[in-house]
Amino acid sequence: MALSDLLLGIEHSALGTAIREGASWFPMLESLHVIALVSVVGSIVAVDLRLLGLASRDQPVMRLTNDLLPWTWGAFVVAAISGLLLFSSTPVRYFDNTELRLKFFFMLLAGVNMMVFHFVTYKNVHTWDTSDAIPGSARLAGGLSLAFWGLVIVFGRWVGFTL
Amino acid sequence: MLSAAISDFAAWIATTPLSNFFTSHLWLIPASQSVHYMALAILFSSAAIIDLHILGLVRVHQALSRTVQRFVPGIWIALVVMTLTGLLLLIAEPARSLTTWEFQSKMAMLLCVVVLTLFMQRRVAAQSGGWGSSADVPVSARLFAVASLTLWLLIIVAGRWIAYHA
Repeated sequence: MALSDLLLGIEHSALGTAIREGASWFPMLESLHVIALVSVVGSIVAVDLRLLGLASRDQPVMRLTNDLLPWTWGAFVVAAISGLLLFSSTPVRYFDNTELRLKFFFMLLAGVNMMVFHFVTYKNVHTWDTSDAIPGSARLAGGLSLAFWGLVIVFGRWVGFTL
Repeated sequence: MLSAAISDFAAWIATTPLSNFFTSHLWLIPASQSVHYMALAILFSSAAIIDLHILGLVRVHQALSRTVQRFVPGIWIALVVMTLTGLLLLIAEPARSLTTWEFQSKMAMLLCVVVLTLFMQRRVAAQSGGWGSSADVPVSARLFAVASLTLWLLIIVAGRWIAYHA
């Protein structure tokens, strides 16, 4: 089955049609998507600011991440589900949308950045968890994360204007 | 009639140079909205962390006063940024903002949650010992937390619905 057939199939499905043509499904899904994405980005920003030494300096990094990461993941799941449902309303046009592709590209970069941080820099977090000297790699990870998620928001907003 | 006065005010704003600058550089609107969303991420997360702590769902190992001290600045700083970007968006599209029930209800709820948050901040500051365990947290604090979360969520929904006003 060609991809275009799949996308058309989703577009003409009962679900896709209901979201596209219903009076309130799309706005409600969008609202849920906004709530979820601001929760994802906000909780990540709290950790990034700590990595940059700009906030919560008296808190160990591990404690902050342990507190917040479950919520980040939960919110991400909600964002992904609401995003998929939004996508299903007009999948053909969304798939070709450059801004949406860029949004996913920067989400991918944010994910890679987080993985590199988690598997490399975080390994010896015990040595710098409570000290003032935050390793350069941790600061870089925090800074890149802020930049990537900021771009995700910008391109996400632009999708609605370019579709 | 008040609604006529608001409509006239919105019409007047639409004639101003700043409003026309926005309508002739339309990309400024999604740009302002993007900053609005970035600030919202910080505002909502800060408020939610405090509210969820009061409800015993997060950071229960810390004193509530520490959590409030740490995250309440995020609420106020982000609110300033959102007010500025919100003003720009209002000037760009005055009728859509001022005359719709979506916008008006959003502002009314915003006023409520800001007042409630100020009260909470003052109460927590006065409670010098902090509440030791979740059993000590008074009912009024839990009510605040539920009201705060509910209001912020409804504010976000109302904000999104402004764009869909027929």
